Amino acid sequence: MKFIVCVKQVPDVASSLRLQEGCIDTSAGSMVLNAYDASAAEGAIAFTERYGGEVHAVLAGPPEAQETLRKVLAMGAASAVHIQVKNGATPPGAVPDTLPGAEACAQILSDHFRREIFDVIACGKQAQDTDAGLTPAMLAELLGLPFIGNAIALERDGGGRSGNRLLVTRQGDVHQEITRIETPCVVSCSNNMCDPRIPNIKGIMGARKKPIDVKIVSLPVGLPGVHVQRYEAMPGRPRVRMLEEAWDEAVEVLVPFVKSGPPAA
Amino acid sequence: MARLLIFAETRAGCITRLSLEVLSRCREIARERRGSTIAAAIVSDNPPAYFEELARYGAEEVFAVTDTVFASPPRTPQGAPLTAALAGIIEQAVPDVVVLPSGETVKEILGALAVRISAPALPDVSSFNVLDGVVEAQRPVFTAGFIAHVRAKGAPVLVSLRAGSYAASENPAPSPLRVRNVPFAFDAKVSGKTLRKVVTAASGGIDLSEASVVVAAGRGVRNKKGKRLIEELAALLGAAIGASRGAIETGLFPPSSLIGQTGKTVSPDVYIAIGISGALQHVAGMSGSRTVIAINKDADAPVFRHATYGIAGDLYEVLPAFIEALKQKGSMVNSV
Ligand SMILES: Cc1cc2nc3c(=O)[nH]c(=O)nc-3n(C[C@H](O)[C@H](O)[C@H](O)COP(=O)(O)OP(=O)(O)OC[C@H]3O[C@@H](n4cnc5c(N)ncnc54)[C@H](O)[C@@H]3O)c2cc1C
Ligand SMILES: Nc1ncnc2c1ncn2[C@@H]1O[C@H](COP(=O)(O)O)[C@@H](O)[C@H]1O
Repeated sequence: MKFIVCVKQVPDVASSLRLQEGCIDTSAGSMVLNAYDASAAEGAIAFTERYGGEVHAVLAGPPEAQETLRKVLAMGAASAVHIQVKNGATPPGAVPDTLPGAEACAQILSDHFRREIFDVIACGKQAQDTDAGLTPAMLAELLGLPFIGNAIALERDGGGRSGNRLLVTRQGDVHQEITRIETPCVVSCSNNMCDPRIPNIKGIMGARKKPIDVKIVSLPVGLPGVHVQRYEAMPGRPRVRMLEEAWDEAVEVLVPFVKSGPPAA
Repeated sequence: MARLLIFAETRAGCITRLSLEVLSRCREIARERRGSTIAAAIVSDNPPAYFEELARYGAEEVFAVTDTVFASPPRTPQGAPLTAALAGIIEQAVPDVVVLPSGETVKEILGALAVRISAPALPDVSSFNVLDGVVEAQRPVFTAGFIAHVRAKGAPVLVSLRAGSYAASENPAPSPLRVRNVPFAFDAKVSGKTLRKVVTAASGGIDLSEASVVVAAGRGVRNKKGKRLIEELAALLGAAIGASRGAIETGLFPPSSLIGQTGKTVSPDVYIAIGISGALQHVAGMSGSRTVIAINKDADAPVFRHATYGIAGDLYEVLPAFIEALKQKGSMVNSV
């Protein structure tokens, strides 16, 4: 099967991100491959290693995001497309304009996919910066393809080399659902699907020679209006009270919830 | 004035707690904005079973789609038919705002619904308000490291609400419910998906989204003995059991109990984190809890930065004594 993985470059949430006049300053932090997209890439690469096929990657983002594509190539993808937005228009991926990005991003990606041939578009379940989780379902809807969200396992359905269906396990609120999905299709992947491999030296060297096709597009117009007014720090908690011995205060908080049963022996 | 439509999700014959929280918040908004109306969308093989509860929590009008495709347990994947049903209801109801409960069902379809009806979407918000023609909301972003203040304009605007953001409360003066049946036809064959199997994790305990107290286990709970202590504490408190990724990986707890960025969001009155380090991705799912009690043998564990009360100690020693102390205090209070 032919997989195309949609990957986004995001600020490393564990690095030092600071708030500056209502915007998030990412300059002190580093940019990384979105963790859920790393799982999508790993899932796709592991699938093709097992059953045959190939994996490609696509990213919409500024020129600096190329290093993220190199990482996916080093993991084992064969080629990549880097979509950049022309005329210095705010690319989806800039902060603080990241949040309205899902609509624009899905539009840009669907325009791209209309000219591609593929079996599976694999996305991450959400971007770690916007935490939106909208793009994959939007993309599927724009392309008129079946979609499964929050996948935790990808299998091939049926035997034979020509097996053209996917068996997807999805984590729901209560159950897991195992569903057969026709291709072409879109799936979004949870990090609980797999642990992404760390590229080795051979992979990193090899990735330098793999093709990255740069496409310049215009920012889509006329999309529904969502605007970020400002960012704010997450309200913190007062300093923790460390308790000793009988932990009275914690016990006190919980006593009202204690189920009345037979008194303690 | 605003026309509010909520999606009432059902599970095991009841409307989910989160849907009732959504409905209760809409009632607050309607109270502040005179002339507002609250309608509920219900999608089921038997909608009338839920009418009484919807009215009790403040719905004035209900838009019902009736189809066996929505029977429980499901026989077909629910995403595509649900998107179609909600799009049909929205067309009839012409709301200004549609508010949905932000669980996995809604997360899977929100993007598709937004595209289908050309509406802006504000996913997974922790608070929202409806002003003249706009919706203002707060969204935790960057793994709940920051809050984004967002604003959307549209007809309608789609909003999905995180669990525990508002309390569910009944309407003291419910009004009679007007019922509208919305026509629906769905051909499962064209959806491109066939449900093969539904795997249910054996939990049977209290639902995470319903509980006032959550007892959450981490990788520090490393064996059956630890799990039994967690279960004993949870039973004593009528608490639901949650878990971190570390605990799920041990295989002792089902994946549906995962709390965090990948898992569920919970905001109970009390959250007890046991043997959990307090990684950002875990905290993202529990930072809205009112009181947090953390038990960890490492006094420098990050979880203590997110806790109200900390107990530095080995859970295998702390928990038996803690449970005993609770039983003593609990029975004293109960017998007074
Ligand atoms: C994209 C992404 C999404 C993620 N989503 C989630 C998510 O939704 N939920 C989630 O939980 N994680 C998530 N994670 C994983 C997260 O980063 C952490 O790895 C995970 O939460 C660690 O689980 P833990 O705290 O149980 O284990 P550990 O980090 O191993 O911590 C175990 C803790 O237990 C303590 N301990 C050990 N023995 C004892 C004892 N006997 N008594 C007392 N204390 C003891 C230790 O001191 C330690 O602090 C995600 C990661 C990524 C990259
Ligand atoms: N700029 C982008 N380029 C490529 N894929 C993206 C981009 N933004 C989002 N995606 C994909 O859509 C998923 C969900 O993103 P979001 O809807 O922003 O949470 C991500 O995990 C990626 O797979």
